[in-house]
Amino acid sequence: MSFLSRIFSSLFRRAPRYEVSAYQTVYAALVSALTREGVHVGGTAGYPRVEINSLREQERLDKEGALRELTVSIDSISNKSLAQAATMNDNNLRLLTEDLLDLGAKWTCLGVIPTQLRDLVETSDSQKILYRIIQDFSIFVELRKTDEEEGSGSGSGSGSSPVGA
Amino acid sequence: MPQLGNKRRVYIVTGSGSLTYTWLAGEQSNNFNRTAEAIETSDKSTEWAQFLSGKKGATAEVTVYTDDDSTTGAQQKAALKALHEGTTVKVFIGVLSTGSNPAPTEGDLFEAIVTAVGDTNDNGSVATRSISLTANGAVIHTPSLS
Repeated sequence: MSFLSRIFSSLFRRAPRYEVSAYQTVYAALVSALTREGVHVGGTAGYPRVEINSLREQERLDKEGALRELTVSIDSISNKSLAQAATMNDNNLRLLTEDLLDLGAKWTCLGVIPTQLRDLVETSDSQKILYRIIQDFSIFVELRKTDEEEGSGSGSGSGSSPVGA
Repeated sequence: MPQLGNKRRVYIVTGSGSLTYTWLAGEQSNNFNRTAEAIETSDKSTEWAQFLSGKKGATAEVTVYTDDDSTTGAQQKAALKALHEGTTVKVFIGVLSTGSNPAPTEGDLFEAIVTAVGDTNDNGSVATRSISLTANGAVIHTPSLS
């Protein structure tokens, strides 16, 4: 690092970091992880289909706002059978839990935890038309520190800079 | 003026003369309790109990998200080390000024022994660590009480 950049970084190191949400990054990572052949993911028409039904970012877990929990409901929808929806859901579980979600440079995924599962069969008159398995997950993510923040944590007191305070 | 709890944080203080305040990263909550013993001086001159203020003390407890990384968890490591080795840590609980030379604007600075470090590892949650501190000697309050 050059002398000038050291001066600039020491001047601006303690500037408060602005608040950002993890929503967009996690949503994109979920779509990417769930995408596979033979299954429609997201808003595209057709069956069998996997939908991110709802994604909710919970309150910040630590005082800096770096640690977040998101809860998500993912629907596996089949127009053939409940068994096909259940198989799609098992594949979703595998895709989301066998490796950590790749959240890029800004966020780190700490883990994806499956929570509740329920089914829903939609009928029209007396005919069953859609079979749905709804799986809930908790996703824990952490906002990565920049190299500058990481390196200064032990000596300069810059660990005090608040996020969203 | 009332303040949000997330602004009043626990810092590990190092150095002498020019102090360095480093936030206990991953802090979730803290509490700080000041106490003064009540020495009873009641006599028969009145039917009401009477007291003198006795020795003062303070305890603190902070809960953090467990981080054993040598860099990001360095302050947690300092507290653990103090417990293992029976040494003290210098702690500030409160608000620091912003700028290149942070200094206390509100809060309490004290030296403490670490009396407990408890880890909680619940299913489906981020692991947490609770650190208990007992002040060793005087607590310095900012802004000054004099």
